[in-house]
Amino acid sequence: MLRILFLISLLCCSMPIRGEAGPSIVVFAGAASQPPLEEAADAFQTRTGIPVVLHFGGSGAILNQVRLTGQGDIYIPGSPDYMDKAVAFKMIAGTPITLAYLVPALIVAEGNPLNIQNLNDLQRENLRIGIADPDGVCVGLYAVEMLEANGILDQVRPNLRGIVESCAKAAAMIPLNMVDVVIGWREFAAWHPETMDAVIPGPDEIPRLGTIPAAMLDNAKNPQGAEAFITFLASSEGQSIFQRWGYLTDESRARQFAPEASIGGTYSLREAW
Amino acid sequence: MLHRDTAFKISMMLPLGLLTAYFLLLVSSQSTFFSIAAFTEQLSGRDLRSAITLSLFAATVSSILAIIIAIPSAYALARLDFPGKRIIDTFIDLPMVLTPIALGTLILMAWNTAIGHLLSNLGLTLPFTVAGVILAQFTVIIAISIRMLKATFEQISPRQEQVARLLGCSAFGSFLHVTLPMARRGILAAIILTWARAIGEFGATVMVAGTARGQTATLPSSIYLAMSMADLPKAVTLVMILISISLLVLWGVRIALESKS
Amino acid sequence: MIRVEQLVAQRGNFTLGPLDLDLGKESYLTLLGPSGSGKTLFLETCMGLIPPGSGHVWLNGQDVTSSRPEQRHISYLPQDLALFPHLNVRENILFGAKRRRIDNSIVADRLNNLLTLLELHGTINRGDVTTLSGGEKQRVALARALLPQPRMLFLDEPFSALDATIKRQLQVKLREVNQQLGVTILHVTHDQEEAFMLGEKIAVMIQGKLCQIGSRDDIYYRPETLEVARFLRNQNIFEMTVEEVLPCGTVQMSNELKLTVPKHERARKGQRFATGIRSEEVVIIRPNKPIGPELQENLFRANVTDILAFGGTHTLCIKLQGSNTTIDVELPNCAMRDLGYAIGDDLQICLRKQSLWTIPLD
Repeated sequence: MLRILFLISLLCCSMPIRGEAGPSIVVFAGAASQPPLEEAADAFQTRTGIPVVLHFGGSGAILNQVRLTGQGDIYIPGSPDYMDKAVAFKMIAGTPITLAYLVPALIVAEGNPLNIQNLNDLQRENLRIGIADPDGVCVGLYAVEMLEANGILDQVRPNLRGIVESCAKAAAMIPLNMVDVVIGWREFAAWHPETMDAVIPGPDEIPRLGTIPAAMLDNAKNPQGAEAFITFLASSEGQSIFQRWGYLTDESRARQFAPEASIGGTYSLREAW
Repeated sequence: MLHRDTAFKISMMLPLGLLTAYFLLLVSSQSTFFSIAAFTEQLSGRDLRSAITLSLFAATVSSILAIIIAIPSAYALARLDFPGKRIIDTFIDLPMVLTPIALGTLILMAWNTAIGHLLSNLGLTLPFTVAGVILAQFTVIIAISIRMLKATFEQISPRQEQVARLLGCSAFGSFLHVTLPMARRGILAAIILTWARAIGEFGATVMVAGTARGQTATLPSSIYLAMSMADLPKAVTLVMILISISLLVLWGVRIALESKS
Repeated sequence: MIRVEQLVAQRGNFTLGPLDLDLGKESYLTLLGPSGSGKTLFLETCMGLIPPGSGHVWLNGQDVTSSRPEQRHISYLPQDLALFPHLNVRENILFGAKRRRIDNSIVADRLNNLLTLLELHGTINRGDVTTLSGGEKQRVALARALLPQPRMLFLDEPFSALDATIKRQLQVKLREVNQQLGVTILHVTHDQEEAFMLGEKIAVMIQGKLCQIGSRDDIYYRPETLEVARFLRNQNIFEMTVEEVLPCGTVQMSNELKLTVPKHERARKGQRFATGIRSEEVVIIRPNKPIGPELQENLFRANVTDILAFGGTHTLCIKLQGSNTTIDVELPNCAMRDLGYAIGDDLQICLRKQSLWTIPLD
């Protein structure tokens, strides 16, 4: 019995420090932004000495967490619709900025073995297609909008095999060979070029581009720190971190893929889509 | 010819064999996604060490807390009579029915009530702290502990306790010197199962404590984040580490406590 | 020693009592009754394991009704013995001494005496109590109960699971314990032979009520209620009405038969009674032998309708001539061999007046 207690106290001593020495910045972000944000947080801490605590999760789940606990300095959801919600809940201080642009694309296995070239190929018989649930997930909603806008929703629908509840699951479906094509963000492939490729639909086929917005929270305990970090993320150093991870940070660059597309905003889903 | 009930024994062992094969398949299937690069990268990172330490620490503390609370609770439910017993018995099962994410959300909402405000004014912080991790795990595992211990106590005949009373034990004494020692096996099984459930706990933990690396990131939540990034090699590494550590601890505890008896 | 006044206890739908019992200076009381009659509940209430609904319990002159079990200085030997499986034999036996913090030298002495008395010297060093034989377990449980020198020992059907030889040995041991150690014993059993052999006083409990308390002869030959009579396996019970009470006290009763029974204070003309006789008390009149003076009344002729053979006895089922009344007559084997009756045979019996018991009905 005593031995066990001794072991536990040993563990206690090696516990990570809970209370930070100085002020820190607490960021709640969608899991999709993990790699660039972790790198940016490290860079920011090296430069300013201020630690950045990052909590990742589903954009909706972390919004709930922020609401219920009243904590957090910055909110960076994985898509604009959650920022709209946060604004509607009066949780945001100031105006959100856009950190990166997301382009809808057809994600296929590396090397594009089934030779998917464009949206029309989605109508192929026996093709397994996966999307995120348009009811809850931004990229799913944009996917359905794109299919409808191009008039192929009804033809493609029989091929929709996997409808999953998060961006993450959607991305994972390709390496796990659960489906042949995922309608997701072009950035999925950028994370894992060795397993996935992105086929980008034609410029007039994309009705809407997504964004990764960032904003300071109303309840921020460290508003100056929050301000500083957001500024850092939007600065050329911060943006280059995003670019290195495959994100489009420049609006004009994003528009090259879809000149007529709207940016952000919501699309209302038909009842029985 | 001496019959050895071969057919019966085989039919009892066959499902077990198939199950073991299935689990082995699950574990070994990770090899497709395993990458040495990811493995070494993870092992050298301090994030992993924090996650492991936090996982072990929180699971141990929350299991110990759970067993401490579960032993008297289970005894009360098994042996004593009190008004509302059946309702409470069913109510205690609640955590097993609710998904851990829902439980985590409830904990956060409870923190927003008057009681939560009171505690936070006293200096206690719950959300996004290690205390939050422990509470989230505790809430998920306590019902399992109680169920298992209740079954254990129900199997112990009250006669030994009665004899002990008449030989000079107080009610407490009889519990300490007779009931608990007789319940040893069941308590051990409950500890093992509870700890295993705690270390794998993720939904409620993420809700209540978030996933800050180095602070409140446990092994399961790290696996979740790796999956969120569709980073299967990293996820596989972490899963392997979680499996190895858990098996090691569970095996060690079993050996240690069984050899004592 | 034990006194109980208006004791009532409840378990589920079963109510025990109200009971009144005074075990005076007798030191061995057996509580006899069928299964489910409340004997265990009674023990548990006296031991303080179950709070009584009402009433009082006195042990050694002290009112212990509200005392805790550990304060009552009673030892308990339950039906399943309840040895502690997590302790070895020695630890089991010494458990009470440890809890009561009795001085080691005293304990060592007592232990030695008990080991000798209960023949446990060969068993004391065994490790696992679950591997002991039935008889060994009993003696270990007894030793455990007696080591703290309780004032009283409560036994609940201690020998029901043992075979006859071991049972007999242990019953004898119990008597030794009672006499040599001076422990008052309350011994609950459904085994009538055991109750009669061991008890100085016997109490009969049926359906939660104490029906009769008395000596062996009282209970055996003079049951006070029909339940007791039936429980004690009286086969021959007749319901009769009093015809006449004679000046000397003898009572004449009849239904189909006419019987003369000993005097009873409640006998009035027209009063209904149950009367009976134990099967071994029925006398078979040997032909060609004179009939003694006390066998002059209640003579009947009968025919054998069935013969049942047991181990050491036979039972003749006979039907009285001129009536529908059947009677069981028990004979030891040697008598049966002598008489050599067969089914259908005609014989004469006497229901000896002094052997007839009477219980007033309503």
